[in-house]
Amino acid sequence: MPNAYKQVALTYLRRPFSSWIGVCMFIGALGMIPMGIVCLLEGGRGRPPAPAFFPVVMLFLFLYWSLAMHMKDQFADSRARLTPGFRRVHVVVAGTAILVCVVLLPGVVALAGGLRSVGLVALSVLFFDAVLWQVVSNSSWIALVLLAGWAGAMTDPIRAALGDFISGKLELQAVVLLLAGVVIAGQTMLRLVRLTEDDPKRYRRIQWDNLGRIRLAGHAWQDDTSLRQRFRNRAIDQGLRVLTRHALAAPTSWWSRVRRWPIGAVTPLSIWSQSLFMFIVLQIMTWFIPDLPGEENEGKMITLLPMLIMVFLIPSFSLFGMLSTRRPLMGRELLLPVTRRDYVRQLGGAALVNFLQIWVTVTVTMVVWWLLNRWRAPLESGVIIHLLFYSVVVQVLAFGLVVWATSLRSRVSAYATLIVAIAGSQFVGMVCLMSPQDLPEYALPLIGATLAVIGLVFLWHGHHRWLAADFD
Amino acid sequence: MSDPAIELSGITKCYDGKAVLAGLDLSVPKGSVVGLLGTNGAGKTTLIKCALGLIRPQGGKARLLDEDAWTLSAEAKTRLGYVPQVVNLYSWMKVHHLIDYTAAFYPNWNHSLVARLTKEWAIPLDDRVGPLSVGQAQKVAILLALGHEPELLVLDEPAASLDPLARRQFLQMIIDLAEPGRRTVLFSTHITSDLERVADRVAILKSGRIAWHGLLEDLKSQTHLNLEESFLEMHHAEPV
Repeated sequence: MPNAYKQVALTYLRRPFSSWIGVCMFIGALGMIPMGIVCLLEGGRGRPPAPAFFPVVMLFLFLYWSLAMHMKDQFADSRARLTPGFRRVHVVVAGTAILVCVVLLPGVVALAGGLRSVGLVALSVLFFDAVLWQVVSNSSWIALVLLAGWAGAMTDPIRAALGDFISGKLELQAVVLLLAGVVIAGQTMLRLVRLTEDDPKRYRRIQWDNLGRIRLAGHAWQDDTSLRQRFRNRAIDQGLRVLTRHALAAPTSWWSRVRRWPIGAVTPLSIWSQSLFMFIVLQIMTWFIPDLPGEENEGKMITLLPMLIMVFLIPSFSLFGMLSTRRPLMGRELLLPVTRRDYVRQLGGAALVNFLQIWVTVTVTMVVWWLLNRWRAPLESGVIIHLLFYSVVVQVLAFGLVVWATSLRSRVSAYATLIVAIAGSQFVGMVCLMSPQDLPEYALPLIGATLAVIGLVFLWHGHHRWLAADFD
Repeated sequence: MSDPAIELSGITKCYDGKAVLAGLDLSVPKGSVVGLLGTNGAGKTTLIKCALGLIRPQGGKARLLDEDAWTLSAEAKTRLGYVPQVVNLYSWMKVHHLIDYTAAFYPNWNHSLVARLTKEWAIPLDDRVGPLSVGQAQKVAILLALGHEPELLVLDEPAASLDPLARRQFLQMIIDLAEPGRRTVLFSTHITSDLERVADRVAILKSGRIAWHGLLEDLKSQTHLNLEESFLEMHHAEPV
């Protein structure tokens, strides 16, 4: 059935950017280009700083993630077991796609760069193996391994070793790793092809409908006996007790009316775990962000860049996630005894409370982290004050943007808006904070005021959009 | 007497230590239209999935079209059509792309039948699957299952989301398809009136086993009640 191969191949070509993770990575890659440019402008000597390579890596990650998700979509369905010839045709087409994207494409890139070695291809295969394993097994620890590997790859010794690996100085090792990578890919594909509903954890896959809503397809699976789930159940029970108290007090108290809408982190436990997570991420980031040359730049990059990223990224994405995942429930909530106007405002109030909780957590975590790492980054007090000022104004921008972005129907547009805003605010932050002495005195207050006004405009517009939104 | 289209013997299936199916036996004769009735959570979907080899029972044997359900051959699959309860289609595909994609796997795909059904059911071929309503998506799923004119059609609550007109058309389609001896149909439903119109046999699932299986007429003559009343009687519930 030659037509079946053609039809299956067409599904790869016709599929739009339907993985929001892939969209994030793709836009993240674009967002990192300004960073790379700043680094190149500030540095400019010898090899380009590591961040300039991030966009390339991110783009490959996007491609491999999209491939893996598409394959999972095809096999994690009853069609795979009940359609005649399904497996054979889909495996052949998938294998061809992997050959082209994971082997040939990096091979061409290596040849174009004058490299006569399989090193880059071997790395590409291993990278794809990790992504495919993550998608097939629905396991979160692979992402941590990837992150650790990435962080390690940015340190000088490992970067040098990678350079040798790619340039052909470790050819035998490269061939061995390439063969190992091919075997691992084969094993993972076999696992994928053999998926059945009897393995509900792995059978589940993310589906992204045309309105940008995520749902998990597959049999519901939950292990109440696992430690993780017991922690979660405890946090949920605690949160529910708080909510019930507020719900009962709502008729008499504005604060209770706001707090009865459960949104995001409501328990002390989750704020502590958020803080710990942020601390670990900050520390990991300093391992792979290189410092810029020059005494005057010492410590600035590895201190400012992570903090600039965290101060916008964490509060905005947390709130974005909370509001987006809540949206399918809003239609039902609106039918509770509350007017639309009150509902939108009280929900907005609840969102603001959570947003501020997260921002305070981020700020405290950053201060503690900086105090512990002060020996690496002796920043002047002026820079610290500027950073704190920037952190405050960027929250106004972030909150307004998130309220507006979450009112959009299309999740792609929403994510694109946020990621462009993150990239832009980092760029502005870097320019203002790296060399504040080069700017006129009024520059930072003016920039801060502009960002805040933009945020308020978005907030006003977003509020009106929410008042008129369809809750379906 | 020919082998049954579906044969389940001693099927046991547990989830989280709870037995959903407990030593179930069911035999669906070829050429019959069997309606599967049961309360919510009785295990109808689990039974169907075990019969199709989508999930593996912890005990017992499932045979489908004279083959072991777990290791169905490609040839057997060309004779089988299935519409799941929860329809998962490629939301980003256009309907006609999805039809072409499915048709590519079946050498006996009947394009003129599909064209007729898309027209009768007003299925928008140029729309993407994602924004289709639940009922429209269900129609597409039914269409994809009927396109290769399967010998055995298995439907899990197929009419639940259909509008009255579409449901009537669908039921008529089942009646036409299941002309005496031509095809075997197994469908699960809550709508007893649909079952009475279409099915010649009924299987009632209760407490993980088939509590009653046989000709619909025999059930009515035994109980002197209609199907709904018989079902309620079996579950010791009072009719409204």
